[in-house]
Formats: sequence, C-alpha cells, structure tokens
Amino acid sequence: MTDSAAPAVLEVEDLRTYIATDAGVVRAVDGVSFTVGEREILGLVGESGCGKSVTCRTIAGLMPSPPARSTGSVRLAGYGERNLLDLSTSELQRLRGEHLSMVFQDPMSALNPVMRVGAQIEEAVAAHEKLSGRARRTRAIELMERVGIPVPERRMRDYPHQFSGGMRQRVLIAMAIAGRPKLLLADEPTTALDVLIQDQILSLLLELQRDFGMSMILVSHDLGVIGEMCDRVAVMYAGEIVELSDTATLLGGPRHPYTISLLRSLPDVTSQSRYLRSIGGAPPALVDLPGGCRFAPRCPLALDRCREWDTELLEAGAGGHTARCWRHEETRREDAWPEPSYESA
Amino acid sequence: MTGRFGFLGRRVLQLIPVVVGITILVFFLLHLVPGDPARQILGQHYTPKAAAEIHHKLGLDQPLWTQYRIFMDRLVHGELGDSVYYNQSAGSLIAERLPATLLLIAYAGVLAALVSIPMGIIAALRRGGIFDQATRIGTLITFAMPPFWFGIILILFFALKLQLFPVSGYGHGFSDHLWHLFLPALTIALAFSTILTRTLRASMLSTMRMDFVDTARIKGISRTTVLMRHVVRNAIVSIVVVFGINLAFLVGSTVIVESVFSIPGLGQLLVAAVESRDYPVVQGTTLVLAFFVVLVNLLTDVVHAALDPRVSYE
Repeated sequence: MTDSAAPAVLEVEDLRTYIATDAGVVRAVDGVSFTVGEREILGLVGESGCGKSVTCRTIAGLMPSPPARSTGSVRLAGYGERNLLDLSTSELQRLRGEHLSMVFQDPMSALNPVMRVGAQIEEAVAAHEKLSGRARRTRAIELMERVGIPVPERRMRDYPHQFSGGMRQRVLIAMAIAGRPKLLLADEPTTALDVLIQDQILSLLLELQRDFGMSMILVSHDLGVIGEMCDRVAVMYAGEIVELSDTATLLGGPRHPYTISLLRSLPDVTSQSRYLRSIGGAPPALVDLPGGCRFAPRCPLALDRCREWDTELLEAGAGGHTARCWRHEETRREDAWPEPSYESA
Repeated sequence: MTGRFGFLGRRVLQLIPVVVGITILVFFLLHLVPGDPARQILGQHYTPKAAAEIHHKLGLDQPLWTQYRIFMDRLVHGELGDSVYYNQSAGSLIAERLPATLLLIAYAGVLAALVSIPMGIIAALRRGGIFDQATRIGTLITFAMPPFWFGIILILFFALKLQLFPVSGYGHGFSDHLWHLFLPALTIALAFSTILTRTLRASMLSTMRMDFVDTARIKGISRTTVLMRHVVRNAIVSIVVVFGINLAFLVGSTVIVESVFSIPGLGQLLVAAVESRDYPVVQGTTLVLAFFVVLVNLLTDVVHAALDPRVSYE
C-alpha cells in the first residue's frame, strides 16, 4: 500500500491538453492533478476517450503540437524544477528512455516492421550510452532474457511479424526498461492480448517494477487489472479525475457515483442475477461541454445544482481519498439510489 | 532461393508465357495497321508487279500464321529479321539504339528520385506550409504540361537563351552523353517526380502516425534518427513500387522526348520504322521495350521484397 509520506517521483498539477479539431476544441484532459510516489503504481481507469491515454502521452511529450496544446505543470524527480511541458526537443530526448519510458497498447503496430527486433532493442540500449557494437548486443540479449524471450540470440535476428503478440509486448517492455527509467507509463499494455498472456505480461511488469524500483502509471479500463496491480487509483471521466484513492478504499468504499456504477457494472460470477448493470447514456462529447458536473446527465443521484455547478475534488476519507461529487457522503447509502432499472443482458 | 526471395524462380518461369503473349500482340496488331512496306520502298516507282515481287521477297504473300511461325522461328534463334529499309538486321539496329534509350530512362529515374525524395519528405514534415503548397502547385504544373511542349520550353530557355546545354543530339563518351541527355531526362523526370513526390508525401504522413514512431521517440533517440531510420525507411517501401510501375510507363514518353531532342534511341527508331512500315524493326523494337517493362516489374518486386521483410509473393 502507498506510503503517502514517500517522496513524489512525478507531480502533475492542473494538466490540461486541448486538441484543435474541425469539430471544435476537444478538452481531452481538463485540469488533472495527481502525484506518483517512489516505487508506486498509480492506476488510471476510465472508459475509452476519457483522457487517460492523452494524460500519459502528454507527460511523455508525445502529443503533436499543433493541434494539441497543454498547460499546467508536470515535474519529475531528478529532472530539476523544470516543467516537462516546457522542454525543448533535445531536452525531451534526454528525458526519454532514461527518466521515463512508455509501453504502448498495441504491440502489433508499436514495432518497426522493417527492422530486426534485435536492432530495435539495441537502438534503445544505445540511446543514452556510448557502447561498442558487441556490448550493445550483449545488453540487448540480457534484456530479452530478462523479459522472458526464449533463445534471444536467435530471436533478435527476426522481424516483428515473426513474433506473437505477447512476445512483441515483451520486446516493447525490454526497450522501455533499457535505460532503467524511474517512471514507466504503461498505456493499456495488455488490452490487445488474450487473457492468459495478459496475466503473464502484468506479472512481468510487476516483477520489473519491484526489481528496478520503478514508479509506474498503469492505464486500463479493466478494474480487475487495476485491483491486482495498483497501489492507488485515479478514476477519470470526460477529461477529469472524479475519484482518487488507495486501491483498497476505492474498490471497497467508492464515493463517486461514477465509480460506484462502474464497479456495479462488473459481472459478478457469484451473483444470482442474470443481468449486467450498465451505466445508461454515453459520456459527453469533449467539445462544448455543458456546465455543471460532467457525469450529471448519466448520474442517478444528480440534483439540479449538479447540473449547474461543477465541484472540485472533495475530501472523502482518510489517506487522501477525494471524490468530485457534492453528495459523496450519501452515495454509500443504498436508499440514496433510485430503484435500478435493469437492462436485459 | 528460399525465404523472401523464393518467388523469384517461379516469377522467371512465368515470364515465358508473358513474352509469348507479347509476341502475338506485337505481331498481329502491326498487321492490323493499314499500309504496305512495298509502297514505301517503291515510292513513285510503284507498280503492282514490283510490289508483288517485294511482298514475295519479304514473305508477306504467305498466310499470316505462316508469317508468325517464321517470325517466332527466327526469334527462338535470336534473330529479328532484316530491316526492310536499312541494309541491316533489325537486331543490330536495335542494339545500336538501345543504350541511348536505357541511359535516358535511367537518367530520368535518378533525376526524378533526386528531386522527389527530398521534396516529398520536406513537404510532409512541413505539412500545410509554404513549401508544401509550392510543391503541390509546382508538381501539378509540370505534370499537366505535355512532355513534347515542356521539352521545347526547356530547349528555348536552357539551351538557346542560357546556352547551358546542347539543343539536341547524344554526344560522344559517357560524360558527354550525360550532358546532352540532361534536358531530355529532366523533361521526363519532372513529370515523373509529381507522382513520386505526392506518393512519398502521403506515405510519410501516414507513417508518421504509426505507433512504432512513438515507440522510437520514447527511446530517447534523436529526431533525425527517428525520421530517417523509422519514418523514411518505412515510407520509402511504397515509393519503390510506384517508382517501378512508372519507370516502365516512362518508356512511352521516351518515344516523344527522343524525337523532340533528336536522340538516336529506340523511340526514334520506332517512330521511323512505323512510318516506313518496316515490320521487322517495329516488331523487334516493341518486343525489346515490352521485355524491358516486364524486367523492370520483376526488379521492382525483388527490391520490394528486399526492403520489406513481410512481403511474400508466394
């Protein structure tokens, strides 16, 4: 569990990433603040399009600008007092690989198809260290062994299309840890993989995180994955964090109606119910957002004032548990919720 | 050959029916065209009797199928027959003219690549910028201009006004050839570079959006390395295919450009042979050009397979 006194490796404050599109300005990330402590794994959870990936990509400086514009501050321990959003291209280059790295969602498309796998790993190895060709090769083989790729000496001469999805993700992880970064951003690293492989990859990430003493942000829409992996969780909805807490509290005693609905919508194998509870409606378009709470249109507990005024993240419990809801104290009471209308599964 | 290039052996075998098909087309299409070599040879001295003699000498009084059989029989023995007009075999005529045409096509290809590769890359990197717009308009203009007209403009400006290049001819010796062929090659290259620039630009833009480019960036390698080793290296694959297809297509424009610049190449020979109904020379030239097209296509596939490990023509 998290030790809130642990020094923060990453501090994100009031991060906003707006993207200009033909339809208008998309407020993909809209005032997000959080910290990631040393050796801590923070989960970012939410529906597709809620801004969790954009948050990671903004931190890594990967959002194309234009059309994307970011404000706020992102500070990384060991990288001075510099706001990562202000870094020049060459400063970003020094940051990446060595201080932070990232694992992407789709291992099928995240490797260069015309370059041998070994060469791609060696490239990551050589990014921040002057090494002889032989030393690079040795390091690449070590990395491949470390992430569980069998017969690395032979496999490094293969091309990505000769690898399975799980093996490709291992290659990506090998490249991500090549510079021993302090912070690893894992953007849905297992979404594209089948369930058995998912578990293997998650265990590998957990093992590496412990061995290397890395901090990690794990993006997922899968609360099961988050529950297994993370120390703390930030729930995102429509570009904002709506609830932030340690994992046990969040899964055991959530306060925000969105988090509660999300947890209730999980299929429960022990339940007698033949129905899946889904959250009615759809997330708002992030262009021309209405005033008030962004979840209000879908919230069974919404009051008139919820539709008019938004709120900040309010203190909802011990250990820094916060929720963006006026009624966070009532949400745990079953009688506050209207009779659920079941939709047939 | 195994692996990626395993297709090569089969592709070479497949060439045989293609070449036979080409001979049939070349032979029979030519005989569909009205005109009589005897009339061209005799001119004012034309009499039906003299014409019949010539027909007999050339074998034109035989049935078409027999003529085709004789043509093929010779071809298998590496002969194309003798020119009706020149006192020379068609084969030696073609051999004399082939180098100029091959050099012109290769020269145009190299110039086109030299122009389009940097232009396509810069246009994609500065998408929507002044250079991108200027490239778009510039390439469209050169593409829209017919080569014979554009060639004449180049002659007027660079050869006559600035006197930087010769007006016509082929010259003697390799460097002299290059100097003489510069304007004709440029004429072809500029039309060609439109397609190449636009394809490369589009290919660059779609490659830049690929996930593996982000993977490369997050490694902390330099922007130039990301660009060259990952973006350009992938974008260039699609260019090779377009380059190959269009290079073969360029054979057609050499016919016109050789006439405008008076280059003693195959195109010029072909035009003259068609006018004089010099059947063996027309057949031979067309066959050689068709064979060139087929060869370039095969070569394109080989280069494509060499550049992209995922390619399989099996």
